[in-house]
Amino acid sequence: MNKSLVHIADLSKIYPGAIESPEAGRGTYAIQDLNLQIEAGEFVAIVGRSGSGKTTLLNILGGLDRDYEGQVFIADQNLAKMDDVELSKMRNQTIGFVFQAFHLLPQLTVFENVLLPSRFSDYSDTEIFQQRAQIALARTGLLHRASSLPTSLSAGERQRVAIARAILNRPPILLCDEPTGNLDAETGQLVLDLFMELCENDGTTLIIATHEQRVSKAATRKVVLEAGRLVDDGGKA
Amino acid sequence: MIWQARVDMIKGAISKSRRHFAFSVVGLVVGASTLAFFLALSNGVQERVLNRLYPVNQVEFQAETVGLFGLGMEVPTKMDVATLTALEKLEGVTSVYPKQRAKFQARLWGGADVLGRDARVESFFDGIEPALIADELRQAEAAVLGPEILDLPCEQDSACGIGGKCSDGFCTRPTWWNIFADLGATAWCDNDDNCPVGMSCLAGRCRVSCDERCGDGQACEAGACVPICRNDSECNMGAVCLVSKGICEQLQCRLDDANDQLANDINRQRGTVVAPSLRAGQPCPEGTYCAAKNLALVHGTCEAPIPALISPFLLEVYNSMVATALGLKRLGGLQVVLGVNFAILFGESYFVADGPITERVVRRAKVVGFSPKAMEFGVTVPLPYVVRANAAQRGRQASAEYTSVVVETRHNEDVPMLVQDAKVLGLTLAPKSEEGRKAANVLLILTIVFAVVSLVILAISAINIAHTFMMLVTERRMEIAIYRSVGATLNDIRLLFLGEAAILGLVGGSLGVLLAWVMGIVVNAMAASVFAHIPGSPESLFSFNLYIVLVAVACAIIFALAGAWLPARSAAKTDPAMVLSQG
Repeated sequence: MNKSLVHIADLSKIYPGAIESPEAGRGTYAIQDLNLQIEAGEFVAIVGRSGSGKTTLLNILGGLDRDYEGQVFIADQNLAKMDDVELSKMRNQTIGFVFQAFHLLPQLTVFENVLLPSRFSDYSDTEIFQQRAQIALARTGLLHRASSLPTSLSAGERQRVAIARAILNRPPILLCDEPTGNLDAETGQLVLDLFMELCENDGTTLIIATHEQRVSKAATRKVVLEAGRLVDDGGKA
Repeated sequence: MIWQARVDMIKGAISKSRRHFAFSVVGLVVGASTLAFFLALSNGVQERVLNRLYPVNQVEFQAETVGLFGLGMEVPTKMDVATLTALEKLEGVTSVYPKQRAKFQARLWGGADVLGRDARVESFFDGIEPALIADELRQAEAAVLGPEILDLPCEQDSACGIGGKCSDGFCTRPTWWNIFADLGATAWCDNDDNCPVGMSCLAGRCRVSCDERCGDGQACEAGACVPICRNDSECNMGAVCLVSKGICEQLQCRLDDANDQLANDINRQRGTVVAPSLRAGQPCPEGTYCAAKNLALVHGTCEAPIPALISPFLLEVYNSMVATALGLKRLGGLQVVLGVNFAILFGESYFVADGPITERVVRRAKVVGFSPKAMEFGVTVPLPYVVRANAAQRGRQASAEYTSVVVETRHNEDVPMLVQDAKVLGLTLAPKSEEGRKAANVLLILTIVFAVVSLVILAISAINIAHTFMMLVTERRMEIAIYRSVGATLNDIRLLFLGEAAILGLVGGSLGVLLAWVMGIVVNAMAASVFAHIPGSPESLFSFNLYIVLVAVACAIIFALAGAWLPARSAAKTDPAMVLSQG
């Protein structure tokens, strides 16, 4: 039994076939022998250069990438031992994703985009989901744009819609990949404030991959990756 | 994932890609419509043409012919009651209906009412079991005359259809099909050999002797079994109920002149009743005539005309050849001949010498229906009439041998085995049944060929669908990855695409059936002008039923799903991590 919300032990991820392989013929390490524990309610910034393994780590934590060595536990559950249905349910209920490129569906309205996770939920009470979507949009300050299409929104607004979608099911963990990467400084700050508010008020665990100092400074813990290795875990290792 | 959400997503996806789907659905529409069109055509031809000519679970046998060495003749083997009994015991046989042809010469004349003048022709006729044909007659009659029972208010007879009468302000009409039955004509005789098997000659008439057991509803009177009754309506036409005895007795009558039998007008043949005394002095009841024993005698019994069927083919020949050549009126339809009276003169012929006058007998007949099962060149009457006439004219032995037999089986599949078994009994398929089997085989082969063509069209449309879906999967990789990131399972993704394909199939199949139905209407309209002059032609060559609709729509759905199967698997295999990282 692990006490940490996220527990990573000896995690390695190899992209096969690269010629610059350090170990003859196996490929390139995206992540190598990574050990990390994250407690509930932490705001963790994962920093490092491009290609240091930040996105790969988030994909593994979110169960989108299952091709790795080592063990990853989320809320005491070993991801490697979960089947597709269990992993999908975890992505629906336990984890929210926020991407640098927002990844909203252009044919759906803002409100429908926010409701998207409810379509894959086992619960059929649409009223509850609609109430939650309104609350999520209200928290991100976009209730007035509920019926707009994403194409009519600014970049900052789109990212806030993506955050509203991520928190619809009130997941305990948010995985964010460069969430302010496409935003100007002012808009980025707004989004960062929103994250901090979620962390402080809701106790949401934030794991944000970023190369922005502003974000890493705001985090309660900074984890540094270099060429797939953990070089600094913010003093908690 | 709940089904409502799944349906919403499928609807959304179809709406978004409607142009792609519109092109994909065309192939399904063409394939499903072709399939439905040919299945309905095959079904219609089977039901409305073939089954009427050659019912599926009925097959007709005749006695095998044996060649007489050196004489160049073929003589049929015997088919008698023993053969029929053996047939009844064969596996799968439910009913056996013997047929017998008249075995003596005859001429007929009549029809002036509808032809303009009397037709006079050599007559051939055969006897058929009324039970074999009752349903068919009823359906044919309903098709041309409408419902049997008319509660229609009326003011005059013409408002009540053919044979209808307006009485007390309401229409009444004979149910013609019901009249095709043994009405109990008197069979005259001099000795037992003039009577059919099972009857004896008692007081100059063929009757069932009380030595045999009398059947239900019969009593023994003067050594013969006679029908019992409480009033006249329980007796045959031309008979009265002798209430004191509780039995039916045929009215005996007398003609003024024996030559009145040759008159065209049936009313001149009603004669005068001579017995029983309570009706003496009156003419035979309306609708009956005084049927004398032979052309030389004036004494006879009051009898109803023999009910007769004619073949639609005969009418076609009449309209296309006879009417033109002889300058007679063409007949507008089968229904106009219903109720037409004519006379048959047994024992005379245009081709061979007439029999002695004491063997020449005049009988009246009335057309009560039409059927492809009727003789093509002649008239068909209920079997007992022919049996009695053959016995009277040619002796008991002639009446005991049947010409052919229609055997009804429980299932169509029983027929091949039955044909084998019947061969052992010395029976072979009658030419008409043989034709029926060949026609059914040809229809089956054509149906299979066109069904295969339809399935090939559907298969091509499935390939087209596969191509479209592959393209859509590539276009929608990001959408799939987003769904996966918010909790969609592999199965959700697969079902999303398969659901879209199923809807395509449903829409394509339904439109296809609709198109086939419309094409059926067009083809029927075109065929109607070709078939207009052929009496008894089917109104529609097509028969759409739920089974055909379901098969066509199901095939469209199955082929759409088959086309989308690999793309759906490919969609589920989309790597969300890679797609989302690429932005």
